[in-house]
Amino acid sequence: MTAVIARINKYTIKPQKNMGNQKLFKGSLQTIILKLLAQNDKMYGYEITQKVKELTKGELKITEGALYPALHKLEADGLLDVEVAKVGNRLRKYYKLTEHGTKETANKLAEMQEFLKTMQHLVNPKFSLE
Amino acid sequence: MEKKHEITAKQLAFLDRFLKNHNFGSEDDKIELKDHIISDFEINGNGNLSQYLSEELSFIKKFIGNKLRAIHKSYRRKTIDEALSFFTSIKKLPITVAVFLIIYFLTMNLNGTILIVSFFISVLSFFIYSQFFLNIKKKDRKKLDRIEYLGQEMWLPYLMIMFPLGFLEDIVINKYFFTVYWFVAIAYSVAAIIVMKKEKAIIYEKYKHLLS
Repeated sequence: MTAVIARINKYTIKPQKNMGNQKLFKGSLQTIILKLLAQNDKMYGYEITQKVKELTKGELKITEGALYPALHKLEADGLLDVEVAKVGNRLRKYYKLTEHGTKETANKLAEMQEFLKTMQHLVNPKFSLE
Repeated sequence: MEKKHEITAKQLAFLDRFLKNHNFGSEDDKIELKDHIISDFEINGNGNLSQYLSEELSFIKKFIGNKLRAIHKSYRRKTIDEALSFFTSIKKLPITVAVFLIIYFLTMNLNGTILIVSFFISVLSFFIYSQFFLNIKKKDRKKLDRIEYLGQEMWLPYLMIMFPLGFLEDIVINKYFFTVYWFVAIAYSVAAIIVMKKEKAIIYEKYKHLLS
């Protein structure tokens, strides 16, 4: 996961510094969420924002305004399942991958790798990601 | 994620009242919103919950709107996919062709008034079935807003009945056009009902902690 985000980060995005690059980031958001959930079994919304911040050392920030619509879309599409648990003084909604979501994660990651490779060839033909 | 401070019972009660008074979504929305607000407030807030909420108001409002849009879009896409599967699935294709031929036969052989009445009864019966027999209890609707959108894909067949009310006789003149028109209304109704049934079962399983 760190590798994927680091690549995205290195070659394309620093959304906090460049508004134009936010569009590039937005297109990768679902893949990032799916990959994180594949690695962490179940996560809640706020945890995802903090995890991405931590993995990218604060370079990439998922805003709640972008995260929740993406989570709700993935859930509505049947890629995520929800689980509610009592944590301290409140209830918490956890997201986890469904069987279909697990398969889709592999597809989306493969697409992402392919896209990054193509972009690398276009932007900087002398170097390769591999 | 180090907490700067812990939310107090008084602040928690204030937050509950705030979300209730502003009518921010269903119980399902409130679980997620409340958890997000508390988590962020405990890590990034300055201890003043009222100030924090006023700064986050725009996010809270968008949270509900964006969620409903995502749900609505998802139901629409599933209904269209289901309708398309009537033509692409080998299992369903014979039934699709049979239904089309029945509609074609009726359109070609019935006279104007009987044809219009048949059209109305057939499409309206699907609509009534979806709205009354697949209906979900009112108290469950309040708990989970995605239920509210379940039956909304019946808007197209409903519109197809209501739209030509003033000039139905003109539409019936072109028999080929009317055959397709009737067929689309029936196909979309059936697709929407299939999606409603599937989604209702999924929702009741997934959200059993919230629903009766």
